[in-house]
Amino acid sequence: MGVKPGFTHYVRLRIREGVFNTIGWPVWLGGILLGVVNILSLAWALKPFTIFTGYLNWGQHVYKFVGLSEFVGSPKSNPLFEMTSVGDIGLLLGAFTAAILSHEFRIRKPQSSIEHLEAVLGGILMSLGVVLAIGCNWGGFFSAITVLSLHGFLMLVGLIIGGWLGLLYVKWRAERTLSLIEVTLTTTLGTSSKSRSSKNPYSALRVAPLIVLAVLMLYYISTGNYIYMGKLFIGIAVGVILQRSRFCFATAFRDLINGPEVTRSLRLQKGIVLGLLIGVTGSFILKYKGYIDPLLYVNPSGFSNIIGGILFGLGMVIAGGCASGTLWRAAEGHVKSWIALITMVISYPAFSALIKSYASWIYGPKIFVPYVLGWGLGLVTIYAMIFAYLTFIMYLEYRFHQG
Amino acid sequence: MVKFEKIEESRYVLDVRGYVCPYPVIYTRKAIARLKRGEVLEVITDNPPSCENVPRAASEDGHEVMSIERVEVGVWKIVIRKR
Repeated sequence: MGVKPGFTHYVRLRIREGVFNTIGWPVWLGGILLGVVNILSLAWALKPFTIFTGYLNWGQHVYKFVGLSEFVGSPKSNPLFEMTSVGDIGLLLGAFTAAILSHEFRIRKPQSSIEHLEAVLGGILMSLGVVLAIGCNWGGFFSAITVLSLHGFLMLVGLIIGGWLGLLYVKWRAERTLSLIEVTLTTTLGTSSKSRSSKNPYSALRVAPLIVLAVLMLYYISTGNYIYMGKLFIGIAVGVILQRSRFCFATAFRDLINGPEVTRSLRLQKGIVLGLLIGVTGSFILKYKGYIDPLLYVNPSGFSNIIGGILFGLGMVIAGGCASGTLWRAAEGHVKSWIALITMVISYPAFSALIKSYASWIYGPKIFVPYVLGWGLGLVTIYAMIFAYLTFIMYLEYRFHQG
Repeated sequence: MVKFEKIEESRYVLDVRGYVCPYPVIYTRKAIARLKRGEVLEVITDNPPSCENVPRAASEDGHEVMSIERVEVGVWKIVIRKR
């Protein structure tokens, strides 16, 4: 050989090893970045990062297409001009790009029809949970706490219970419905005998996100909609962060109490706490200084948020991903997540319309903590609640390590 | 259906392709439980987070993780020796 690798080759190698590697980024880094991105979204788009409002928009377009618009309401705008939808599109694009660059994109079909059923059931439970908790693991929990609204803490309680119920289901399924099939001394082998194939069948897809991004950017620039273009980039950042740090809220809440991946779950929870502390601080500054409306994204807090959290927590475990996890895995090529995503897009507008017309009494009052306790005490109280949550996680960690 | 095959003396393959968290970890533990000490298990997975979760679960249980390699795009082989 004798030829020294060039600088560009060196940079590519470093990016491959350091950014798009097999192990992924540490979850604490993911948590910090998600907190920062949430502040950016709040400052730029006047919305914390949320997900389900985008599904509502997509679903309303589907209903409109089949002529059932009056049932769920007409979409307010096209998906490229609805802030949450743009963020979701960005998330898909970001996760897809990260998966392609990490050699992790692959169309993955579920092993059995049980998985298809799980995706549908989990998707329905999540949609129902979102209607009750007024938001998913983002709008109802992570972003809700970030904007200093009480409803995020209520969903947190529900998510812990729902995740634990999900764990019971997972354990039951692993024991009852599936077992190892032992085949002794077979000569025909699948993957393990295959040598590492040098050809990537998906490498042609590498340019796809670039083309989509270029088209969308041209569209936004030509129409002068820089706010939406910015939100698209925020979504892309979230997608890359989630895919690279494998920031899975479903694992975080499922395995908290002696689950099969309990250490992963505890680390994820600490990542979530870091993100919350950063997000709360940033959002407090923006709201206190009057850069954004203090009541922005403050939603009702009541018993329905806890029930919603339970349903959502159970649903995300059954479907194998939360709201953001489903988008990220769909972009990574998991067919099960495609089914869960379609289910949520179809069912959410219907549940939302039903509850809003017939059962809006279930919601509690809107509680913005600084307006109840004052700005100073309000912030301290929110920090104290986050530290109480961290103490609970540390106690679970202690209990796990002590056996 | 999870395929668990003996490919040669003291060497087994567990194919959990198509399964997402937490099933790869659950089945890896089940498979290791059937091995004798010193025997080797190859776990084949197409779930990216499992590249971290499966080796960690194995080493937490006191087993030796010998290697983690990509065998094709989006598919990895994790080799574990039972201790």
